[in-house]
Amino acid sequence: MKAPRQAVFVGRGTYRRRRLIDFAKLLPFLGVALIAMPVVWGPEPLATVAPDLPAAPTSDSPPQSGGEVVRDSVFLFAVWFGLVAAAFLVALNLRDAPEGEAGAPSPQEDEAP
Amino acid sequence: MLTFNILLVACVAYAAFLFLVAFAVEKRAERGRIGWLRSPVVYTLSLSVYCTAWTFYGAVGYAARSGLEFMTIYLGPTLVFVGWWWILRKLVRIGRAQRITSIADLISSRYGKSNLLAVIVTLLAVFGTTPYIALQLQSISLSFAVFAADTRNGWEMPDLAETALWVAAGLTLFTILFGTRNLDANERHNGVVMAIAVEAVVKLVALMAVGAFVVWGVAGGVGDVLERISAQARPEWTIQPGRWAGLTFLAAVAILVLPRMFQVTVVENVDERHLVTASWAFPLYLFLMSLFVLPIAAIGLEILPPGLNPDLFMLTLPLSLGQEGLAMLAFLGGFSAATSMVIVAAIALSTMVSNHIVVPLWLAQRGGAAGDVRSLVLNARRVSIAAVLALGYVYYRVTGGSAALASIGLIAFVGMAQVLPAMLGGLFWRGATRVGAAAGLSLGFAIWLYALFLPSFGAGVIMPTSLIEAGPFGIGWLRPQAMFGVTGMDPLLHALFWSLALNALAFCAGSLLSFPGPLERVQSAQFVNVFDLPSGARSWSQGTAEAEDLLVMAQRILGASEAQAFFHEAARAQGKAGYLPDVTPDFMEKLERRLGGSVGAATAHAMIAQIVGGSFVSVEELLAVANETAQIVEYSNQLEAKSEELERTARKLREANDMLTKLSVQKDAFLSQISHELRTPMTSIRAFSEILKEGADLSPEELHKYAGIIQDEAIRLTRLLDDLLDLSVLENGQVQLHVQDGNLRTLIDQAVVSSNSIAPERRFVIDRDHAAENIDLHTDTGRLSQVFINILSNARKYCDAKAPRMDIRVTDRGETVQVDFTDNGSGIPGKSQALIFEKFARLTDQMQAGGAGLGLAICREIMNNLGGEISYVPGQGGAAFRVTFPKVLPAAGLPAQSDGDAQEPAQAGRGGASA
Repeated sequence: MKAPRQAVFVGRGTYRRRRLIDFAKLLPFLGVALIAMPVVWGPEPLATVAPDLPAAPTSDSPPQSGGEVVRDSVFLFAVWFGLVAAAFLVALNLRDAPEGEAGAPSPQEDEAP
Repeated sequence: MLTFNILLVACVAYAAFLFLVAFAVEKRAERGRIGWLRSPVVYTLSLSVYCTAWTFYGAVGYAARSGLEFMTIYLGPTLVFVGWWWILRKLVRIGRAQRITSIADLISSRYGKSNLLAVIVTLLAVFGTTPYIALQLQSISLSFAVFAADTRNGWEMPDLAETALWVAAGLTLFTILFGTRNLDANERHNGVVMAIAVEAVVKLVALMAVGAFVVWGVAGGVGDVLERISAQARPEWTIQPGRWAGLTFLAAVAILVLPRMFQVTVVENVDERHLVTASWAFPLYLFLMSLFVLPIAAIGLEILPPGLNPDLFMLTLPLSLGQEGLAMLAFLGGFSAATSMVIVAAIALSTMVSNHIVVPLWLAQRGGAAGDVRSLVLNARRVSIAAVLALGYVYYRVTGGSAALASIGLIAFVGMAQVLPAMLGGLFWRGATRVGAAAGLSLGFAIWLYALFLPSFGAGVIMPTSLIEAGPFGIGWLRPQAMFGVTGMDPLLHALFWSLALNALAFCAGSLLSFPGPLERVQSAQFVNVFDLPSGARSWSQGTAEAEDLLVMAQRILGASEAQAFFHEAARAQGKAGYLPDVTPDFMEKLERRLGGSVGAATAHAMIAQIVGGSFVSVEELLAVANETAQIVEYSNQLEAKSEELERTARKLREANDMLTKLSVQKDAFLSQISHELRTPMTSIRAFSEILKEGADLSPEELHKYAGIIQDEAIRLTRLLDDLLDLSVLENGQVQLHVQDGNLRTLIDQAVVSSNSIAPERRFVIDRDHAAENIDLHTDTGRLSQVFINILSNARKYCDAKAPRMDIRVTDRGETVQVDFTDNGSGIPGKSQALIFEKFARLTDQMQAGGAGLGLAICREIMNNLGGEISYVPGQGGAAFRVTFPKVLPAAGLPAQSDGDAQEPAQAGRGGASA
């Protein structure tokens, strides 16, 4: 038994919902790429100069990699928050969109080909 | 000033509060008022068991040691939840559709309900979770110790082991009380989940409070904190690409496969839509949990004396700054994180251990005779909870809190990650098989033990130093931490890489090379195509609903009054009024037997199992159901066939009856015809013979005339009787044929001459093709010419044309000859054409000499006997009769053999030509 054929053209609502799901599917890959950015940037050139420091460094011997840590952490938290916001938008719109696996095609509002 | 007693009181009060929350929620749920208890917020908060004491205390320590690397542990799960559409959605759907009770159950169920796989996964889970539980106990003890270390208050250093023991005992009690209330492991533990949600809030609030205090209380706001972080940064804080990617991946895997995460994500899920909320809310929770980790670590490193354990900065930082209330809150946060993890992990592990190890063993021992399984399972689960916690405690005592908190967490992660290939393969690949899963899991498990878990105790503790340094038997490429000559990798990544790579390889190879069993294939379709199948996840979970559902089902099978009487009787036997008895195993057994009488044992079992849930249908039961169904189908097919046959027989009988009636009518008509035909000449014979007898005065002329009439009539009578006799002989097939050689032209010549005596006054033009008529025959030529004469005579008698004319056309058709006799009269009207070959069929009323109406009937019988036929050909411009017959009369009247004879020479000819 073959499954019933899927409609080639679907209603506007269903179309938007499917693209939203596509976005939801792409989101983790975008996240991976962004999270990998600090690795790609690598350490700042001067960081290698730092000698082995004592367990608790004193404030008068500032380490070289400090700016990099701040830069990376601010960037990562921003990305993180962006991912949360994107997922929130997806969830918000999915809740409003009609239910169903990929959205049942509604014949009366077929898109013009 | 905080005293140990105040701390203890706070701790006990907090625990009591949790008990109360869980108890109240259970009560509420029992009354069926679930409402907001099942909201997506609660679901999301319950997911926070991911953040254990390791997060709460350990993340700060981790950040102090390795900088931003601690974030990988939270970024991995964030990616998985943000990408929930890929894996989590399917996982949750399957978990609900298949009533999955644990990750071991998932793997086992997918691969044909194999208990072997369940046991492997359970063992993996026990190995991976026990150190983790030990870790939680350790963290609670250590946090107590932090306060105790403050000797200014004069309280004694409490015994760490004793503290851990008390905590373990309290957790065991809580877990048993609220984790084993219901048999159905798939049912949500409302009380536990709510307690965990409360704890999630407490730990988040505690961490953020400490964080806010550090950022705005100690430091001068965000800018200042960032500067101080920059100042505290160390070279070890530099991100290492390998570890960064590897740990993110590992954490992403962990959120899927850790038993406690599977428990809260899949098993405790009540509504798939909650996942949509969790997809952003849980990452947000993790985000908030991580936000202040780095500031706390940096400030701790800055202002606390060096050498202090950074894992406890969360407590030591507020304490050293005199913020005892904050420290107390942080302590409760850590306590929450530890206890929630232990509770959920214990429930998840105990479900696995009892379902896949204890109960199968017990059933095997009892020979499969299931008695009161319900209480057995519950007790097994309770014992398992105690055992799991005891194991964690023993582990804690043995290792003595030697390792840093974070490392053991990661080691446990890698262990559980071995489930990943089997799980993902099972979710997305129809071809994944039990053999492949078992091979992959075992190999991965073994490598994890060998390359990571055992060496983690330190060289020389369990593994001899020589083995770690030089490999087993001196084989260098098998060194636990440098397998296949890979030396440049971090030991954790090294183990993760090799264990998962070889695991996946073995899984794929095993799956490709083996063939799945029937149940495996059924399950693979159920899992991989879960979204294409109708969702079968109905909730039979409420205890009160079960009896009613059973009654509804029983009514369908037994009939309303009978089912009600049965239930009423059962309720009265239990001392209850009404129609709904308690669903005890005893009652179920009776009901099943009762239903079995109606629908068969296997079906009854499956139906009850479906309503009660939890129990699974074995292949044998499925086959039994299939057999019963097949038998019923076959029986109904037989009935149908029989009724069809009866109908056919009835139709035949009806036809036969009609035929007999018709024959009877025909016979009557025939008799009356015969009587009439015989009577006419008889009457004239009688009349003239009477004249002859009485009248002596007749002249000789008159005498001669009357005697002539009598003679003519007698001759006619004789001929009629001859014809009748002839017809009867021909019809019965008793005719003696005189077969001889002859020529068709001669026969037609004779027939034309013979027929000339009929109505000799009419002049007929006969049109013939003498050349075509020259055909040699071997048949009964006498009978054949009789037919020709009859046809020609009829033409002479009945052809109404002014200038009558007869065409005789002979066509040689090889085996047979076709002779057409066509006159130019008006022919025979359409409605009469079917009648002319019947007996006594005369189209005109005029009595013609010798016409008894038997001629064509005799012709037909003769042609039948000669293996040919006579038919009327309409539309030829006049009456046209076609006579077809074989040139050579077949010996026994069977013309079949001639085909083979004709083909043989042709084949021989072809054979010769090709040679």
